Amino acid sequence: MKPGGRITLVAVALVMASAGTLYPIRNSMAAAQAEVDRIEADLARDSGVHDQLLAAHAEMQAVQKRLEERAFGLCPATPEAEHEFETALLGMVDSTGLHSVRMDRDSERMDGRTPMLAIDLVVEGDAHSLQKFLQALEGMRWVTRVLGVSVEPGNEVRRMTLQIAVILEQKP
Amino acid sequence: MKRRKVGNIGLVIGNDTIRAAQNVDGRMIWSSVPAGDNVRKSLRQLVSSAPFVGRNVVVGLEGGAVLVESIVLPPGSAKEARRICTDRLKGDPLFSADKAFLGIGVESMPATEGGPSAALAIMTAMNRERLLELMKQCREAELEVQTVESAALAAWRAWSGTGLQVRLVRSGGHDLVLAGVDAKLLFCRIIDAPVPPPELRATVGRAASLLGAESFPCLTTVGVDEAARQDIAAALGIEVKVPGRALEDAAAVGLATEGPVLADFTPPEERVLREKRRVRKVSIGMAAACGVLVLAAGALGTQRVSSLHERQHSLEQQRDILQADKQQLDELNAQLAREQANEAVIVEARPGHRMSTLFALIASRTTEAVSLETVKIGDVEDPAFALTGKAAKERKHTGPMPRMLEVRLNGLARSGLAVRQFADGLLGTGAFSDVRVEASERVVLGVGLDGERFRIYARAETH
Repeated sequence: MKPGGRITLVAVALVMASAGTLYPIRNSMAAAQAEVDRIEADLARDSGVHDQLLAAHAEMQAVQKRLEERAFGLCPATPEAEHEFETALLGMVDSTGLHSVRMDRDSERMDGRTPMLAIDLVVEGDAHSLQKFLQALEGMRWVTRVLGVSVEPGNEVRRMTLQIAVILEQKP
Repeated sequence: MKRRKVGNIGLVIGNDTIRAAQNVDGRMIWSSVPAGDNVRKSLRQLVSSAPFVGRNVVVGLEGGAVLVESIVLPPGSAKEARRICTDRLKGDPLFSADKAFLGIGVESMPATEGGPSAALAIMTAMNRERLLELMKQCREAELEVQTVESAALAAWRAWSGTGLQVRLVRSGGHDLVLAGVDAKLLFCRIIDAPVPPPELRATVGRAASLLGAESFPCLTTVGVDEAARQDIAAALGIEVKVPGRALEDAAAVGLATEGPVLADFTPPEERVLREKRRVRKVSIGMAAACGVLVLAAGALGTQRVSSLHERQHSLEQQRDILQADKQQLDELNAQLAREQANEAVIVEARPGHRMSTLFALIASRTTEAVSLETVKIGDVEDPAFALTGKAAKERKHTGPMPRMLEVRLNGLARSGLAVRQFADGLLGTGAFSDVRVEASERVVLGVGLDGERFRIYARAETH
């Protein structure tokens, strides 16, 4: 073989060897670049999240401020808060001169959507005490509704059945 | 880094000495060692005796192994110079065709007076056995032979000149009479030193006649001392000069100087080896360049990959932060939706009538003529909005359903008029949108005592 041919052969072999050596690096580089491009595209797509988060924070603060400024609020949907409400209710019964006969409680939903704690309260007392009780109930911090009042026949002291609902906060 | 300008080592192998010269960065390095029995050892000693660079040598032989003759070829026989020279050496014990390599340099001389042009030939014969032995010694001494030629002929390249020139070079116990025009050597004769002046005069005259000149303007000598130069000048009657630069050994310097080689005796195997060396050198060079390129590309590529991985890591951290933000946003949106729903519930839940007020209104309208036995107040959904199916869709009501208070009163009154007055009183409060006496009948309450039993339905809207 002529020297030129040998040199060409060596050159081709060197090129092949170089390509074989560099090809994996090129592949690694291409793969890394593709991964970087993909993550950058993800980041670009979600670039507005931070602004959305700030806007949501601002909206949340505005809503919470409005809720705090309202005279009435919703009773937290926690066992502690419900127990506290029941205790307050019985306290009002006693303080207004009524006598509690029975109290049943049940969690249900008003309109099928709004969660509430419904309490059937059977008390005995006169009309004046009932009115004071209703006034005290309406003065509570929580939004309550008297769904029904039933006054049974009798003299001054009568048995009365009240269906009281306190509207609960939405659960997470 | 400065690249050194290095030429080949000119190596003269004579009968008694081995001499070498090399041009390194414009400076001529020269060295000489006696030619012992072990030529390989002498060669190694020679190369290490001076700061020679590299192992490439141009070998020039002198002494008994080389025969140089200038001959005039008959007109028109220039093409048959080789045959003529071979015939001339036929039967020679050292330089016959089967025992020597033959090198011929032919130069056509201008034609004179319309006749055919004559040709000058410098015939060089080199003993084959001696040459191959020397090549073997050089290989064993790890010298890379580039060219082999006659040291006498190479001496012409030791320095340059212009025009018609004749030179006397005393080297290796011989006097070389060289003549030529410009860089072209046309005449060479080797004589044992010191050449007698008459013989020198005859040789110079012959050279002049072969070159078509009457005489030479001057003679340039190398290796001849001042006294000898004066003797030569006196004998020849021409000016005797020395070259412009000092030359220790014109033959070695000529070999170390690049220029046209009159007769190349490089053996074919040495040419093959030289080509192999060249291929190897080029291959090594290419491999080195390739290696450097691969290393550089690999380093750059690896650095790039590393940089990309770092970037990827950084971006992944940003993505994790973003994912956390998105998760927080989802949670916040869900919480916000709940808070807004709670707010809507609070807004919609405002009572139109307070139950205590309603109860007080009913009590205030109850006179002595009316006795309420039972009172039932129900907070129910407004049936006007409690639609289903297509009607509900057309109404498109959102939020909590509107509610209304239904009041059912049962009791006794003194008379039907009292019942009516009681009902009108309730309506007059403005709290009720509808008050209806659903039943009213006369009943006997006791002996001589009667009354009116009634049932009233009233409705108050809370929206």
